[in-house]
Amino acid sequence: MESKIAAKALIEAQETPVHWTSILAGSSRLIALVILFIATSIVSPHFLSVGNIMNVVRVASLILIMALGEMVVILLGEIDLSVGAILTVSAIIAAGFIKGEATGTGDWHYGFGILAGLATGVFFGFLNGLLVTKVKLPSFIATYGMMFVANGAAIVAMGGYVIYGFKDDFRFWGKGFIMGIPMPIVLMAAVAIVLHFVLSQTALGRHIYAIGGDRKSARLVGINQARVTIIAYMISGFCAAFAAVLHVARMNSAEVAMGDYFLLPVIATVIIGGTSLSGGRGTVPDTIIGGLLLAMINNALTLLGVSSQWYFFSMGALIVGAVVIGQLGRAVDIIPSGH
Amino acid sequence: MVNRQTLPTVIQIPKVTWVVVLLLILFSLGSANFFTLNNLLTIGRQAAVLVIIAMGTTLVILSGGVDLSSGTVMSLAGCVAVMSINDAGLPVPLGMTLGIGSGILAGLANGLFITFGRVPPFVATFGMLAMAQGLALVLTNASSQVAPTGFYRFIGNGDVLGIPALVILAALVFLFANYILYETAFGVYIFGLGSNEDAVRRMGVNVRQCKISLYALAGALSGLGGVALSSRMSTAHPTVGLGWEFDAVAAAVLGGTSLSGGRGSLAGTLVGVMLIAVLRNGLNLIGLPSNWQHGVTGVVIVAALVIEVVLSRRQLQWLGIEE
Repeated sequence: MESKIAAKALIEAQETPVHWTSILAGSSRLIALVILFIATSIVSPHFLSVGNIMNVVRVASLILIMALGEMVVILLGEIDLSVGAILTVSAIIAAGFIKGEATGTGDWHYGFGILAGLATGVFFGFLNGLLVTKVKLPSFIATYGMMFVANGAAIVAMGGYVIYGFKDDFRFWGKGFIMGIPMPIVLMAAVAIVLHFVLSQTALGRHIYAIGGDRKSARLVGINQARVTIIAYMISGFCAAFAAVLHVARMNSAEVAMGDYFLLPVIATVIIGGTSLSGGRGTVPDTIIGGLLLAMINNALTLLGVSSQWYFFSMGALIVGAVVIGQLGRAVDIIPSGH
Repeated sequence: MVNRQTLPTVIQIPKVTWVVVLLLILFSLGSANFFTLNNLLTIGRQAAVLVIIAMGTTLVILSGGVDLSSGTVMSLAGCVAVMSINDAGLPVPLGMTLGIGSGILAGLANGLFITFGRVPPFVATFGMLAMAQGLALVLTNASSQVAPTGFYRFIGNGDVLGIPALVILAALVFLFANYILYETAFGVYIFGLGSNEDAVRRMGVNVRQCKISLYALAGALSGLGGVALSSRMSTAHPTVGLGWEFDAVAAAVLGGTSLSGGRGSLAGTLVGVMLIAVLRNGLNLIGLPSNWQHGVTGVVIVAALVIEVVLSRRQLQWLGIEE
């Protein structure tokens, strides 16, 4: 609230007239979400049930956890194409430890497995960060290569088997409820709150926005870009691994290629959420709205009896539409300020 | 503006050429079946489709853009071509033309999003990636389509005078792309857009028209690649192309093309494609367990990318072109 007041004061100080289309475009995602919500509840009586809404948000949570990590990387103006592959390899490492197949000693406490999975994700994120900052490969290329390496590591570790059948105490993390709310939603909210705090209240967060907004100035004021970038990739790897653990707990199995599906919806969620791919602009709440929008459209299509094959098409249309509308708002913003 | 005239010839040869040569030697030592005419033609056939789409991708990257939709547009084009022949009963050449036409339409849409919608190329073509994937799935109801026999399959599997038709097609596309890039005004604008778009605009060039034509051309090549792939595999599958867009971008970067545009070559991309194709074929022939192939491919590609990008940067720094 305070930041909003400060922003408003800043705008007034600059005597820049705020055009109504700019306000509209700024909140266009929220408006779209509300319109879609109302329209779907009118058309389909099944939509507006607690069970269905929970289901929509639960489906969105896994993708959102990954998308929030991806967003941190994109805020720097970089990209992480390896999140799907990191999910696969982390899931397999976690599952292997929990079932004791990695050590041949029988079941371990699942906590060790979760830690091993998370460490795997962070490690691959760290490698991404090194390739981007120290070897100075373009991030698109570095993380594309890492996608092969992580998938390859998963295939080597698995040898084509499926790890399945976990105990209930571990499966609680994907299937359980806390006060009637599914665990994936609770954990997604936890990740979102922590990341929102980091991005808006800490020096690291300010450095991330600074580097993404203006790389040269960030360097001139002495921000350690390499360190921040490596941390961002480690956050992205952590989020992918976190989603991996929940996914394994929910599906009760881990197998090769299980993360391949996620890359497109994850990047789509970040873009629909209005994060600029050139960096510096984007927030956690906006990304969450983007993820909900994507999940709700999918749910609406299913409820309305439209073939689920339209999912990808609507995702693509939403991506382009969101950015075009976002551009309308920016154009109005920029023109009166005299540039 | 850095273009090929201002650089010494040695820089235009991608560093990874030596990696390809090294791989050829290693695989020849590793397997007696590798360096045979038969296998080299097989490699050519495996590389041909990627050459076709990577040419379009390289032109787009040279202009400072990127095309992430090439893979799924391939899927769409193959499905459109096969279904318009099988289900709508159109003659084979017309069906193939429709397939390529769907690619052109997708490319035109990319160009319109980028120019009039002011959507960044990465986002616009990523959106098209999803849309083309969706259309291919809707069109086929997510099932594979068996390609018609006869001429349709000849493109991908037939020979002309002992040379695979697909290799000849790829060679023609390569020559055509080189002609466009080096012999026409359009080619100069492509380099110009990648180095200094504002300067090109101030020269009086219609930048919008230029970009729309460029993305439509890339779409046409993706469409052609999709038809060729469905011919080679005798099947059009709605998700077959997903992932090829990354291979095409990687081939371009392996060949020395800068992702920020304005610097690179089509011949370099050809070398990049050969590296990927030789690697996949060779690892298979020397009997590396299939479990290991994926990871080893990744490590070699990353290593080659590091060599290419780092050495190129060193050279440019030495010449004082880059800081």
